[in-house]
Amino acid sequence: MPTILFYLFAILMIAGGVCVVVLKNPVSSAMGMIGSFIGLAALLIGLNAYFVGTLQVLVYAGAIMVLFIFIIMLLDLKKEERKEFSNASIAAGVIIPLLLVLIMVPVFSSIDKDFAKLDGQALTASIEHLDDSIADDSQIVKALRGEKNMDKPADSSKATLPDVNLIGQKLFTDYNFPLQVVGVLLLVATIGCVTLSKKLHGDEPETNTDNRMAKTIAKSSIIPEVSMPADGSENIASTEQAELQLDEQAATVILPENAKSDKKLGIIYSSRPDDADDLVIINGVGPLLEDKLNEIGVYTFKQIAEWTPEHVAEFDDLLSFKGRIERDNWIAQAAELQANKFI
Amino acid sequence: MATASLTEYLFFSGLLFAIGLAGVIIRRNIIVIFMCLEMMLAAASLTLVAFSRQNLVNGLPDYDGQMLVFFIITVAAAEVAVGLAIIVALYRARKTISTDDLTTLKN
Repeated sequence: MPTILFYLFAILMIAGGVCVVVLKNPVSSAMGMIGSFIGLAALLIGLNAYFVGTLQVLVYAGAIMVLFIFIIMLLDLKKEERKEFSNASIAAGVIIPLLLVLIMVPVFSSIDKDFAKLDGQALTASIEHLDDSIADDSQIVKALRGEKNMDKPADSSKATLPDVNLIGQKLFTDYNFPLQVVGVLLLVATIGCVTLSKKLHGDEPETNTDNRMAKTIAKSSIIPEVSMPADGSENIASTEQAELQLDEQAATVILPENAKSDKKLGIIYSSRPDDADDLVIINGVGPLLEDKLNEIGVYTFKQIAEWTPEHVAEFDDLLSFKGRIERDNWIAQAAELQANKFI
Repeated sequence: MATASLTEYLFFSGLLFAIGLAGVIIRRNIIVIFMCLEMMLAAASLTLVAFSRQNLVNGLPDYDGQMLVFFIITVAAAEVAVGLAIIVALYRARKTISTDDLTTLKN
């Protein structure tokens, strides 16, 4: 690499690094980091490490920095960047790296070596020392000899460094075992990410359908926040809660004109309301039962959904049901039907 | 055509390492600290490749050094993935990523 290009990319690399440290906005830091890595990749290519330089661009400047920017945007970090740095940390942050650089200077000035030339002759000469396992007609040997096409004779002045082939050869022979280990490491990292990204138990949002249903009902119902039982076994516990809430809220409940809240029977309509439901849809209610319920003043799913165990017992007696309401789970059914009405 | 010498490569990689170190010490944003750590790793990679180019083995660069760089890049990728997942989990729990506010282990 000509010296002027070396300095250009070296300065790009250092300037990018300074940007990362100095700029306050994390997104700007990440952009500086990308510039820094591109400069670094160019320096690596200048060192004849073509494969590593490409990897640097692909993995670091590409994948890793995209991940960083993704997280910065996910967390929306801009607003947190208004704090001033303390003087002590700035002093430490300047002095310690400065000492490091000062130590480096005498060490590096004692070794002033230029790189040995990797020209065609040197490359062709290296064929003799290649590993025996590399065949004479392999890509490595061809590139080192300078054979571009089959028709033209080998020209050692056109020899190139088969960087990728040599790395591949090394990786899959001498470094085969570490390669497998790194594969396992990546797998473990993947599993670790999934585990870490899982929501903690405490802050898990309530996603099950029962809760959603209860919310829908609460929105649409006269009485807000009546918890809906999911199945028969939970009936008693949750309806007890509902009863408590009912008692508390009974005073503030706004009822339609033709309805009144009966202590024994829950909400009762004196005449057929406009939004009367087809109660036959409930499993266990036939046309005959519907008529009977209407007679008492029960017209809507909502009424049934809000029954407490006392109400259920009362209706059991009134209609001589013998536990049918609980057996067929009317309350849960009515709650579900009520919720679905508004979807 | 003059080319840069080994010393210059080493010096610039050392400088990049020092800048990364300064960032780790000065900055309070944990994501920027993490970026500076990556920068230090990359600076070390440059040193390795420079020495691999310098130390010719039978007329070819010493690919053992570049193998190490290859593995550093792979491990760094895994490290970033896990580290950022930890930062996200941390942010979810504490609603902050400033190291000034993360003082559970202090006192």
